[in-house]
Amino acid sequence: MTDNRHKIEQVPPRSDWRDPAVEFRKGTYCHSAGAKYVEALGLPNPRDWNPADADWKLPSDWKEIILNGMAERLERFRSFKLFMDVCVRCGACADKCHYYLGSNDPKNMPMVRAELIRSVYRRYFTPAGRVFGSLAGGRELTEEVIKEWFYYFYQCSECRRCSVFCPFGIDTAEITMIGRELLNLLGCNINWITKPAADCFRVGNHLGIQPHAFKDSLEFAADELEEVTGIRVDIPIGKKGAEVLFVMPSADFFATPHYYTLLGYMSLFHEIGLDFTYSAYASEGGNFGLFTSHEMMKRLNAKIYDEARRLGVKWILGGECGHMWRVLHQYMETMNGPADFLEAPVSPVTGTRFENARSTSMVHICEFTADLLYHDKITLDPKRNDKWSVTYHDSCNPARGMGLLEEPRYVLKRACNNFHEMPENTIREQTFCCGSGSGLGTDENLEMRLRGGFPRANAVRHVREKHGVNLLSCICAIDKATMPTLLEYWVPGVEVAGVHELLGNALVMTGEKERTTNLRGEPLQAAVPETSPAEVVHG
Amino acid sequence: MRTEDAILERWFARAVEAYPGETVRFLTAERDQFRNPVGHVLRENLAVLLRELLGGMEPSRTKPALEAIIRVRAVQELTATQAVEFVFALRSVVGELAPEHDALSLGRKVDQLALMAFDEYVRCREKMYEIRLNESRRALSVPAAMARMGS
Repeated sequence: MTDNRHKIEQVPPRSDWRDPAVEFRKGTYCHSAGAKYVEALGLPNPRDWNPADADWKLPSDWKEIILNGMAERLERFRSFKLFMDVCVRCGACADKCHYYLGSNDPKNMPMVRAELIRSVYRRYFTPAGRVFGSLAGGRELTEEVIKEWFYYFYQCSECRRCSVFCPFGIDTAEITMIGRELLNLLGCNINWITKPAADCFRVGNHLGIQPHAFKDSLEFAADELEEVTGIRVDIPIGKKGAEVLFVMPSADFFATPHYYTLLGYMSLFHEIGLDFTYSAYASEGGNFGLFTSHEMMKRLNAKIYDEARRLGVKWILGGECGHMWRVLHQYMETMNGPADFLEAPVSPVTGTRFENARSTSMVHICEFTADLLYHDKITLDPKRNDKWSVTYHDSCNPARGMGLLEEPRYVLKRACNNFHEMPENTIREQTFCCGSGSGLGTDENLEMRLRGGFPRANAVRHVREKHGVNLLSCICAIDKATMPTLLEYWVPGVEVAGVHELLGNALVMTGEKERTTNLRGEPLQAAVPETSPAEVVHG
Repeated sequence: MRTEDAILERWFARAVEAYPGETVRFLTAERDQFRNPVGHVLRENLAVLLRELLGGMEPSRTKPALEAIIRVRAVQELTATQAVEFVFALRSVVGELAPEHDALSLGRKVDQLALMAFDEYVRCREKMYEIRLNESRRALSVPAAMARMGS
């Protein structure tokens, strides 16, 4: 007996991947950039437009612009040329992308996403493609293709997980970066990248917070910290001759839970007596230029060295941020170096010379703190974090972009009594992205973000059920902004914190009052027995 | 292969029909829980649902399993009907592989599960709007600034 009465035809057409048609369904794409922000950055074709509209108001010579742009980049970037030629479509990357795993859309397989641009390369830049067209794997460049690029290159968070598995070392993130650069030539930008970049360019940080408000924010944070610890910390801003310039992502002083990480930094710097300064000019470590173009990235990054030079510091310390570190670690010296006016960073407390950071003179705060702990220069009381059962999410950029794997764990294991790793194939180099990186963390794009974040959340759920984990720690401002949302949907009951929030909780400060709350102002609790798997509610 | 296993395999195959062809192969073949999270959630929870549908439909086991599947499908590129259709598919799968089964009793349970699936789908979509709102609240919620404003 076969009952087909309820059978609804649900098999999508098995269309050829070369068909560029995409549907812009609400919740799965980002808003276009406002004309005033495009104008502020001097980018081409500022206008009001909407990705869901039929007419994107492209310049009349759009095709020539793209092909010239590709030719120029093939000449400038050997990596781009190599990545266009060398892929054999072995499929090693196919099932490694979190967007593919969460959305199950084949065009999110990294090699297919790259193929969207590679097919145009073949058609217009290879002899076989010029002659044989589609027979040689080429595709005509049409407006539909531009729309498809926009849809899929803003569905790649440039996390580089796929590149870990590529036998040729193809970095699909770089292909996405070039794809976005090309789209930018036509004025096809998204607002959540262009607005922060414009604010950063004009005022100094993503929200356009002006120097007096920056100062206010830090002073209020000092007030908060005093309430918790009884200790008043200094807020040096633009202090000439300080030893160290400290640069953090601006979310640390305007968003939660980032803010508690700021309180952690402040506690630490006070306790070790660091001679440092904040800067209202270099008040943003984040760099949305990375998601726009190489030129924009360089422009926004330049202020960090400019300020270090102006203030006469010896070296620079950087806070917990993701893509900020990709820029600092991989591009800064080439773009705005050499940092010959700075010294090789030396910890004033331990005397450790950070040789690894000699070229940029910029040290990650997790390296700095791990070194302090290694030399027993600070005292921690991990019991103050006993309300948390903690796991660690390797934020993509520090993990894959700069190899920072052990230092955050070293700090966490000293600062917390309950620490549990997620499964091996979801952490360290193989970490799954939050699904919101590279400027995609907007609220209008939430549905797509939930798809992209599912593989990560699936691993969090595993440690929640197995070990009763209730806190996900991380060292990226975008993670801190978007993971709470992701986990609220996928794994309710797991909160998000920075590594230095947990360090700040545990840090025993000289002359402190008896701590009754953590940095969030929540009462310190005695250790709770870990929840057994059976007791965890399936959210 | 036991009949129940065969039913599960075919039910799984019907449930993944909603995805493009290239993906169906991957969802079916890759068994690692973390390398194939969608396939894993589907397979693991369909097994629970099948046991319950052929058994006593214990809510404490049925509901979480159904929720886990719908939570994924509610945010994917599927319409509401595509997201819940897999429930109805069981009727014909059982009809094909175990025609001796009491179709009336199973049909009733499938209907009940389908109604629960609709409820869960709506709950997930509502949850999505709720978390979107919560996120925008958090984005500008430095406690000190809020205290200053007296909120």
